[in-house]
Amino acid sequence: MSIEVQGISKAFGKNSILRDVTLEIPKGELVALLGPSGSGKTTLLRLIAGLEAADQGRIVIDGKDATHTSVQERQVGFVFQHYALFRHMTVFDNIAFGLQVRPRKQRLGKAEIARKVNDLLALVQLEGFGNRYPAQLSGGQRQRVALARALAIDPKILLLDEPFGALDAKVRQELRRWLRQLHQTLEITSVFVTHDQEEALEVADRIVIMNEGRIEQIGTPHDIYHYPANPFVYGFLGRANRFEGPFDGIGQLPAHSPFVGYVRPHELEVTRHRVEKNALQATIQHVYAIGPIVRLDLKRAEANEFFEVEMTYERYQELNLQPHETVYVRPRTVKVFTGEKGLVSAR
Amino acid sequence: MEKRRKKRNVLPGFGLTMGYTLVYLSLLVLIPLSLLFVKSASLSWSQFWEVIANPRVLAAYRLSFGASLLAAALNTVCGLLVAWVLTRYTFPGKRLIDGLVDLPFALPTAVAGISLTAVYSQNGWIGRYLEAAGIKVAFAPLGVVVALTFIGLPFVVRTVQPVLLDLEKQVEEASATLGAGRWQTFRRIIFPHLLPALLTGFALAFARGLGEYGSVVFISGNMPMSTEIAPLLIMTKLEQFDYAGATAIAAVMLIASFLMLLLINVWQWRSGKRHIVG
Repeated sequence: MSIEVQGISKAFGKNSILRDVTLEIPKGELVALLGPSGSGKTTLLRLIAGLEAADQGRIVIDGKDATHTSVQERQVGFVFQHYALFRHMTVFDNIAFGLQVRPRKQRLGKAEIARKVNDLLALVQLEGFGNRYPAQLSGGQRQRVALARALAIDPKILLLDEPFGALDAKVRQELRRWLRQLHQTLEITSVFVTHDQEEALEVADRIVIMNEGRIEQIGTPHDIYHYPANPFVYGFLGRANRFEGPFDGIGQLPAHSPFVGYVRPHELEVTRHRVEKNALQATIQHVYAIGPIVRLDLKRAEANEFFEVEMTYERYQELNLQPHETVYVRPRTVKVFTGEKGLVSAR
Repeated sequence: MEKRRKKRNVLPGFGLTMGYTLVYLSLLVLIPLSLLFVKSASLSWSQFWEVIANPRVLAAYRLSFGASLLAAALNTVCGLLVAWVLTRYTFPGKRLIDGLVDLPFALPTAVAGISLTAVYSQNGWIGRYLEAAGIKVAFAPLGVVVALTFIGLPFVVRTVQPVLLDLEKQVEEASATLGAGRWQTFRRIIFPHLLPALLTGFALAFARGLGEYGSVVFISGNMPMSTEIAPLLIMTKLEQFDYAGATAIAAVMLIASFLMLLLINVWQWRSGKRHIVG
């Protein structure tokens, strides 16, 4: 089912959380709402679910205006960050809950509910856990129960609020891959909120980048990463160095007007000697040589500007760099956003 | 065979803490109470039975247990409501009302009895209108229930409040997204969560009501066979130097209330233990 968000605004008291947000999610897509905390992404998700009421705008689910329908009527599957499982019920009863609270006429028979719950338990790979209580499960297992519970009502759309936020890194990796596969088998329109750009890039079909209650960019992970619309998106998707001009030390860029350029740490090339007259002179402040990628903190000569460079461990050994040495840096690519004066901050 | 390893605890040793618990309970509860049985043992079985089966005594038991149960039940329902309002909503004067709840704890019970009598008697502020409607509160069994309700009010509120605060908002939201209406959410999600605390509050209010004396004697009028409670009957016996008779009545009350509290505790334990595991 498709979701359309049209001109939604929302404020809590004087704090404006969402400002005129418009978004269209086609049927069957897995979309990530990505943004820093306080960007309004969770509020947007709760508005789609009906857990929050919008001050302005419309929400259309599957072609029907759902702005004024209640949560119960919307039939959305919602997965909470902290699971929100019913502690006094077994895993089985948790999953069966949505089926048991239906009006008597629409309710399935006992045997049918049991069959459905068991199918869902198999789907989330928790066969044999039906009699346990949530307190007896690990975090990853609890989140899978929460997902099965949300899927039990055959939701039109699936909404996940930082579903892996409370889990440790390894479990998070596993569940991410698993969610991707699950989405492929179920083909249900899904929206998930995350502040982890890696998670969004890896899992989502499309990413919606949000900041301060507005949408900054919508696109596929590839587009968003390679063609960021503005400095915020660029800075949010990875490490970024910001260079302020005018200077003639960077790439092939002309040195005429003041400009701001962005370079990712791995796109900077370090040499011991000035190969090209445009290269930037800098001193090494600190070296983080752990793992296959070595990170250097550099300070630009004659300016109080710091930036980062990443290189392979082999390259690092080849250069034999030491702290406080002077090196020359040259960017392979520079990203410049038109219209940006030297005042806007990148992060 | 593998040797059982000792668990390390924060408090020193099971032996010390358990020993202290036993000494403490013995000095304060077990020894004084056992004297009750020793004293009443001076009666023969037939004499004992004669005291207990006296219609006046039976009527007093009925009133004491009946009124306490009724008052505790009333407090369970209304206490839940008060706790709900105090935890779920913000309104001006909330702190004040929160403080008022504890007042029955602090007030000397005689003061409570006198003021309740003043308000609910024939020409009291409220009693006047109730009297006109044909409801007699003061100097009637209903007055006993009113006094015991007043005395037991804080128990349920104070046991339920922290549990309600602890209840995650998201759990209710999850229930709503799954299609449950408000009543279903309350009955199937919130109520089971509160049940152990409600039972504890009920048991405390009930126990408090059984032992209450000060406030009841003023409002009840102490008419034998009608508004006389068991603790008052014990007092009366003591004043007539009938120590054995007094302890006999007391012993029965003690056993009966112990059994009822035990029952409530078992029920509470069973409803509460499930999700605490792990």
